[in-house]
Amino acid sequence: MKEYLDALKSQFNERIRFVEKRPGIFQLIAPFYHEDGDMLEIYLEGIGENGKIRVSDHGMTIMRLSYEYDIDTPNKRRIFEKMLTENRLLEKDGRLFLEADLNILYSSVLQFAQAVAKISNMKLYKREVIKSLFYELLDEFVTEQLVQYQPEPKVLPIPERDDLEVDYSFKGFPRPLYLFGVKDDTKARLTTISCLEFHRANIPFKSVAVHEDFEALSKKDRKRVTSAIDKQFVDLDDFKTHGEHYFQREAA
Amino acid sequence: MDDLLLSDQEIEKLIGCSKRIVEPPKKEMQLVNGNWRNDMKLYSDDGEYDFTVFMRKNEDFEENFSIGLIYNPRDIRGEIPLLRCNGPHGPHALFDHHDRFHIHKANQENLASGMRAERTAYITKEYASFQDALGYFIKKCNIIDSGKYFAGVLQRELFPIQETEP
Repeated sequence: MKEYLDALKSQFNERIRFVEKRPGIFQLIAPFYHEDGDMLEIYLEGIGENGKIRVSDHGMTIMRLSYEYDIDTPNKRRIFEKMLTENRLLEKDGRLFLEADLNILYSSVLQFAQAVAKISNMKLYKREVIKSLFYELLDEFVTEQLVQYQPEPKVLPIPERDDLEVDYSFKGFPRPLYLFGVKDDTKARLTTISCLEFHRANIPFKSVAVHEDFEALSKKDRKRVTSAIDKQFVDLDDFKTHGEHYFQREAA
Repeated sequence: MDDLLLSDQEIEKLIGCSKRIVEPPKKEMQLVNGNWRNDMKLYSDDGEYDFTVFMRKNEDFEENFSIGLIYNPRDIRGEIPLLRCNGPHGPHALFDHHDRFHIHKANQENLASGMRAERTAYITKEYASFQDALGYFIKKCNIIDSGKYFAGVLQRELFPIQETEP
């Protein structure tokens, strides 16, 4: 093990050191920091007789992440696993690790640190990416659970008005059922305008809005969209819980 | 991540205001993904503010723990980590000493500059284990009905030390 640690120290220009955290497990003390100033937890240990070194976080990355963010949905898990794969990391019982030969130990440690930093920032998705995932999650539900109503995405009821797009049109109803995913005030306004224009053009349809968070819309936008739309679901969970039943009733 | 700006006085007020447990912790910490964990939700005694508390302890290295208070503003998306009591899991950018218990605390400057609110940390001698830290945290955050859920935690002051926060 000493040979590996000495080699790594030399490759880092002697700017690192090691602390033996437990017998045979060495914590790398190097200038890699989390955004809160804490150091990235990187541990090195030998793994038997195949000459490889295990670079591991011993579960600290997911622990830190869990202060504000849990990987508790299939989509979050998928993104997490994609990050692992792209960075050639493995995961077992919450511990992230990779195994490296001596000749690539330096680059492996850098790669590990980069991946840990990236995964630690998954919490940013809470506010930013998850918002954009709203449409992805809506699409997943529509294409998996409402397939019997033949969802057609991105429909233009007035062909010459490509600015008035319906997210999904469904068949099997007395009138086509237009569904709008609404994640913010801007989309709420576009949905309102679209429905009013479709009415003006005497297009027969029934409208449904699925909000990311109805309460998060401004008061005026809530009023406008409520006035224009036939049926609303206050959030995706509401739609997932009651949407199918609503479709069944409308189709009857 | 923090769009809400708070002054240092407001941060102190949020940390120190009387709080009650609205969603209690589990009786025992749960082992999930290599970490022992528990959580609870609090609100201020005057009903004005909401908080969450996380308690984490690494399975492999039990000295790697963190107990944190997060403020959840009602009118703004997001959350602000106000206080985190950590074990000696490794050096910090501001004090390169290994094996020091330390406390992260939010401040106005970090919030205003867009950095992690609780980026500032200081070394503490207030506790020397997860249990100690929990007792310190409960007192520091003024959780007035904690006795129901953390019996014994607050009776562990063998060596009371005056806090020396910079």
